[in-house]
Amino acid sequence: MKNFILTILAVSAIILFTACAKRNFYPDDNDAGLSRFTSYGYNIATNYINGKPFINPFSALHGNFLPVFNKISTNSSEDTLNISWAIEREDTTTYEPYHYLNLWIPVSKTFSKENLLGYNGTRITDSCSITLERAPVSPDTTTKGSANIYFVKIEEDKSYSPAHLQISGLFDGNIGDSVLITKGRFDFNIAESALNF
Amino acid sequence: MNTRIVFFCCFICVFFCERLYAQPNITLSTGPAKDLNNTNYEFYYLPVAVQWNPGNKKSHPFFAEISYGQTFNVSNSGTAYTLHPSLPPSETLKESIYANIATFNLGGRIRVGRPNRKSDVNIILTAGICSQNFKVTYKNYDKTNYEVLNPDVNTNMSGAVEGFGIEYHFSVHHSVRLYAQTPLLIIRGDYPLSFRSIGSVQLAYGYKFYYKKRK
Repeated sequence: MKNFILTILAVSAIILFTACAKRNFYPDDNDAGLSRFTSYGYNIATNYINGKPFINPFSALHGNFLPVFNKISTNSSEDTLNISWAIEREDTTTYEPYHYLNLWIPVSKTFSKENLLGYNGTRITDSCSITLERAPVSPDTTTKGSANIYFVKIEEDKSYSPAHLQISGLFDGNIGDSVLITKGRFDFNIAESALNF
Repeated sequence: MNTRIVFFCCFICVFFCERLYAQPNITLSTGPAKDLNNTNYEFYYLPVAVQWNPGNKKSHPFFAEISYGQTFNVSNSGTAYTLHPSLPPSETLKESIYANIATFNLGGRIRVGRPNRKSDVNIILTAGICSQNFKVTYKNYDKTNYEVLNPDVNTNMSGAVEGFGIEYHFSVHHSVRLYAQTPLLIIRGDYPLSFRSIGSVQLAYGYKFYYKKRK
């Protein structure tokens, strides 16, 4: 009986150990608190907000929190592509009010996955917006600011089933004069089935 | 894995092989070395080694050796990107890489030939630890405005190495050897770099300083 329990404990420990996800945070020597700018599908996004480093959260079970790519229909002539992910302070010792970062890109009504792939190597510097949200979202905390986004690399990875998109890029922006978002970089690997377009 | 087992067995065999009755000496050696483990780069360096041979009638032909060398720079290119509207979206940067390599080896000799009284031919087997410190620089990198995609970074790799060579002592003081050392057998860290640990082949000349007469 004792051996049986020990075996169960050992197997459980092995399963727990192998089930642990990896953070994939590789510190950038030039920008303290940020991860290196990579295109390996690490599902990591880091940036400064008013000089303080932020990162998408991590859990040992699920890994890095994934972004959401949503096309939002509007009544105007264009729809909006919303890219959103949760954020927290890179050093979690300090509480900060921001919990979500949203990038907003105007897109055509017929925007599709192929159009997103077409953004590969595209720098958008005059038409994007950015918002920072608290959780739960309240209207007074979602004032839009202006943003720049550079989709440095977007590739379809068909080694997964369903296929994934590897999306790497840079972003920055400001919300009024009080909130400055700088040195943003993301490296995502998301299932195409998670897109709503 | 099988190669390592064979190598380990060979190393153990040294214990049971013919003894060499050399006088205790210190050997200084140097010679060009070329890395064989990297396909993207050709690392060349000139390691300098100090070898202590405590040999006497009662001992087996073992030695301890420390060596140090710095590779010549090799070049690569990296691409950096910026969001700044008034700057070019991307820039190709020249990347320069070199490595400092320090090794401590314990080794043994197996005599395989003796052309004359003052010369012999030995096979040498070594096992030790090696530290390889890679330095990476990007020339003219505007760190404020640009970000390098998938950058190489300064890296210190350390681990076990094994070596194999053939050595010819052609006079009382002089020797040459052709020696190959494996790359690091265990490497920590999983960030992808454009280079790997160095595993080299070296042609070296050595000079022996005898510090104690044989009894």
